[in-house]
Amino acid sequence: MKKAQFWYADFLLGLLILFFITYIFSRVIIDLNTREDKIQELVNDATSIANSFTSTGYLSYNEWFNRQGRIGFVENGKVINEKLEDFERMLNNNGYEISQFLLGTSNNYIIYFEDKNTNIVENKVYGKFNNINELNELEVENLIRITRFVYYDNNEDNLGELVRMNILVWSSL
Amino acid sequence: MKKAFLFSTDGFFAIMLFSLVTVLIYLFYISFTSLQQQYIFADDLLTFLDRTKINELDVNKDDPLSSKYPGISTLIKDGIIKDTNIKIIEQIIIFKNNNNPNDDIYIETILNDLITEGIKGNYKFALDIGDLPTYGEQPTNIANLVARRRIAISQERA
Repeated sequence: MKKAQFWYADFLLGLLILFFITYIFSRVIIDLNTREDKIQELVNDATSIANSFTSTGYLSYNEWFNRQGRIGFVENGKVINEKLEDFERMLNNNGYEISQFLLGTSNNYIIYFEDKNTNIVENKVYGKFNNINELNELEVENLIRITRFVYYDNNEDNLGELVRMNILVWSSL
Repeated sequence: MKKAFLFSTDGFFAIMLFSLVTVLIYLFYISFTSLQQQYIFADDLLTFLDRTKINELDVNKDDPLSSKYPGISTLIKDGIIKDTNIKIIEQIIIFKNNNNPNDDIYIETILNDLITEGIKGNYKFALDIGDLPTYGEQPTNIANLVARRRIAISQERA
């Protein structure tokens, strides 16, 4: 083999390696950005849902069921039991998709309250499903959790406690 | 040193540098944490302390241990908390204004009862009344700190 041919082969090999590395590098950056965009979208949705829930809301069950108003059941940091019951009633009457519409999200969500000992208050979960164990069976790429802290008197005896209101949001695969 | 060996070393270094940069970019993305949850924690907690009256809490002065807040129930039972119709933050300020060494313990009792590990999770939390450290460790050597402020009015203890 002549010297010139040897150098030419080296040059080609170098170019190939350069292209390969550039390709991998750009893929890594693009993948990271895509993933980041998806996560950011979920974070925005979760924040918006959490803000809606921690507001006093607008209108109630009947209107909500007709896709009017805004879902919300917290006032001055305290859960309004009547409104939470309205929300629960709507979900129990197959109103989950309506709730998604009212919350302005196409992503899935659940919310539940945790007391100071991390027990789920009344074992109630609201949203996509009503059993917390189903969360373990979820197969999702990204899941966002936002926790709000509210006063909740679950048995309406005028004696309540500080609880964590967890909002979990994820997109379908 | 032979020319081929020199080129191999250069190539090796190039690959190492490339891998390092890629890993660093990736680590930057995955280690970037938002302060949003910290902000929410601080804000919600202040709202709770500022809007909730002591008599709205699940306390039982006759049988403190049966209540959700045994520490606060005991303070009521012992007459240390006299007026339960005031907000939690007001009671804390009353204790703070008193300059009684025991009052710091009472404040700690109230806040430890309310904000347990289960509530605060991994976050650490400190409360200052005015410029006076009132509860919790003062933050040192920390990665992120979020501070929220509220104006609260209270009376001095009679």
